[in-house]
Amino acid sequence: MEVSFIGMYVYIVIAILSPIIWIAGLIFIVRTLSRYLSAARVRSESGKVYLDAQRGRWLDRQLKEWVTAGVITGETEAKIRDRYFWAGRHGGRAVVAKTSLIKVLVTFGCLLVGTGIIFLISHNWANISPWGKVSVIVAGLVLVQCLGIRLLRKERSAKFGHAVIFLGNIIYGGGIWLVAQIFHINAHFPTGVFLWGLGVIPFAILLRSNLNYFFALFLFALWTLLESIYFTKTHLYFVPVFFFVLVPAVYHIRTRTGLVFTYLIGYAWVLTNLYYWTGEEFSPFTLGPMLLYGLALYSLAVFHRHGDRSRYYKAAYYFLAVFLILAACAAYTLLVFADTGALVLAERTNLAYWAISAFLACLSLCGLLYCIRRRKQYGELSGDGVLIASLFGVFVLFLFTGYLGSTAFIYFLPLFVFCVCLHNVHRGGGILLGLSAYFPLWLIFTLARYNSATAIFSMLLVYGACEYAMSLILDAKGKHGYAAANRLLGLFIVFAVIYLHTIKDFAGVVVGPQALACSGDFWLLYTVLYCSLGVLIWRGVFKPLGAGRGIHMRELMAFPLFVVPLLYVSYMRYGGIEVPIAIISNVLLFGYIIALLIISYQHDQPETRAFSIAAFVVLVATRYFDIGLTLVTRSVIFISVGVVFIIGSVLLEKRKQSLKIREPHEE
Amino acid sequence: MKNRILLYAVVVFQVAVIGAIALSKGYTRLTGRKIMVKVVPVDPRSLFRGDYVILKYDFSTVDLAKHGFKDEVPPRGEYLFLTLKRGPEGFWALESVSPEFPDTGTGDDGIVVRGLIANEARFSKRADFIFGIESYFVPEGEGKYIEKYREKKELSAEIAVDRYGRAALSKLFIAGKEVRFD
Repeated sequence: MEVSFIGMYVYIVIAILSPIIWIAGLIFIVRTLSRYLSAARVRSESGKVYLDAQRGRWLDRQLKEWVTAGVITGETEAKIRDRYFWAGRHGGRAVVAKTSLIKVLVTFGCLLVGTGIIFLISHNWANISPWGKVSVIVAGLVLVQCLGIRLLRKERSAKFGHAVIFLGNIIYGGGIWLVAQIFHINAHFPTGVFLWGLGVIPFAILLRSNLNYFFALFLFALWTLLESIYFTKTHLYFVPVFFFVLVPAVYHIRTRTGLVFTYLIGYAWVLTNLYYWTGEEFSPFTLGPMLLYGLALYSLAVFHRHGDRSRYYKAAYYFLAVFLILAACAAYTLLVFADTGALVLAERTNLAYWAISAFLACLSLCGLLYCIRRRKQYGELSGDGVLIASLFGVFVLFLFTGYLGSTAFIYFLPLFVFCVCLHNVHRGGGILLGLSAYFPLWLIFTLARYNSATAIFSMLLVYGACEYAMSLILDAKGKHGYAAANRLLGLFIVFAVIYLHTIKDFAGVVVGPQALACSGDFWLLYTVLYCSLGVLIWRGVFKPLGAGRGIHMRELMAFPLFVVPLLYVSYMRYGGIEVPIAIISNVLLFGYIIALLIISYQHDQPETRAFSIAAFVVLVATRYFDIGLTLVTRSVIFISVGVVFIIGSVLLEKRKQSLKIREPHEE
Repeated sequence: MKNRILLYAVVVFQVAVIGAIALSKGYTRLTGRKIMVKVVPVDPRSLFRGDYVILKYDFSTVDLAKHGFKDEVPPRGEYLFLTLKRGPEGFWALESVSPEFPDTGTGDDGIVVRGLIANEARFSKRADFIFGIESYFVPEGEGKYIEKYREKKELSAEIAVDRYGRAALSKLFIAGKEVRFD
């Protein structure tokens, strides 16, 4: 009886929201197409210097400040403005997007060709002598790297140079493994990954190349995780690499995204090594180092408040600190729930329990006092500080009173979090980001109670869409940094859920008739989320926020995001019927990635672009290993596609150069 | 210009790494003495990961108590030196184990191999050794074929041992015939 009631309930929610979503989607498509068709107009604006959106905003702010300070007159300001154009102004996107499209294409091309070559060589090895093989590898490596370095000489071919060196770095790593194969070396294999990273990082530093830095970071992360997980031991060698190589490299290259990922890798290292330090299962007491890590980052954020150079990193540190502290809190609550409260009662006689609680209480109190005292001085920062402190306060209160294990906490915490979220949507930014990160964690452990993966995933999908919608509002309010982070979080959640469903075995397990057999409060939470999504859409479509740049219809690119949860819910409803979920999910995910790529170019959102590329790589890589082709066939496919990409990017680059040369004469 | 020199220096470093890895075994293979050893079946669990075959030898697991280690067994991660002697069929087998490289000559019919203790052997006194010759990489899909013969005890290997006792795997034989993938 309950099932049919809930089924009706879902239909009502869908029935109300679907028309809005579909109409928004249709308008989006029409507007996108019309914009694309009229893109030719934009190109004639050549002759000015193109700035990306971030630099454009910086210049915009600076010009205003200069005029106010009397450094330049309004007339000069207009003249300076006339020399530039950037995304969000004059429609400078098309050219900007094109430049980075070349970069993306050539990088993709090199990645595919590199992998293809390695597979090809590793298959056809048998006929050549060992030293012959080594010579082939070394010759290939030297050839590619020298070509890359030569390409760097000229500005117009520099981006090819970076990509070719990236290809060389792949060949270098491939070489390490191939040589190990040739001589049948069964050495401690993480060392191979370490040597690979060690060969890549100098290029990242010397060239200030983001691409190569992320590659090196990935390799070092893989190295330490293999050491500590695969070989189950504390891996201290990572510490000097982290502090003396990775962190200085981030500052040298000046990459905020790199900073965030580097510290997240550091966090992953702390998490994986905690077990070996404490010698026990993951327990509330092992969470101390996690909290300390978050607090250390918070103090680094405070440290980076002043000075033009260091202020650049403030937001990144700040985001990390809030995210990690809250993650530690969430992990704590999760742990306590795992023992259904018994743990709290048992630990009450434990001195460590009281010591940690007292420490946390003092910390939250001091934080609160500090932030209140400095409120006027630091504005938003203090607002966020108050929130962190009060979250700690709530946490400690529950810890002391022993309610941490009770059901009351489940309802209190999300309510608290949600209120602050709403408050921050109104205020625009600030702690919203951190809370957004906390919220899914809470969702996961709350829903774990219902013991239904379907419930968790459908909830996460809707939440991802909410995050995306929030980013639109933040964008409209001019909080672009926070908007980007929210957007990425939303996109990631949706990607992760659909991605899991593209794996055949997984999809078969998750989607079943048990889907609707959840208790009533799940549906309550689900509806709250879905309705808030509806409200956000409504606000976005009919009542744009912010004075300058409101949310336009075409900005509701969440279209694919919204359709997916709906589809998900509907096949959840028909869970009993056989549907090829893996195939549907593959098609959906492919469309989702392509849509994101288009969005990123239209709105000049580099982080969305980076995300969609990463998503594409993950999807292709998984399918590559899924399908049962031989190495040779696979490598031929990889190399051909890669060559097509590289040729395409060369043609695009040539076309761009000829446009640049021609247009001044036309004017 | 200075920057470019540094960039080329990185390329040289990359080549050096690959070269060093190649030389680490290549040296042994070039200079070492070639001996034939029997390959024994191993526990069938996770025999085959990716495209390589795991090999074990007669002397991969040794009861140290039989070789003079009555009270103290060296801990995991220590090296011991195993003296092999040529058998009647031309295959080399374990003769003795010592904590140091034997000073006395082993003669033409003896050779010393260095092995790393891979397990905690304090109580059982049975040590598992790693010589760096435990993996044989094969082209895609060929591993199962070799494994079949390993179970039948028809596998043998030619290994090279240099004057420091380091071993390198050079050839694999099935029933006396060299394994080739042409």
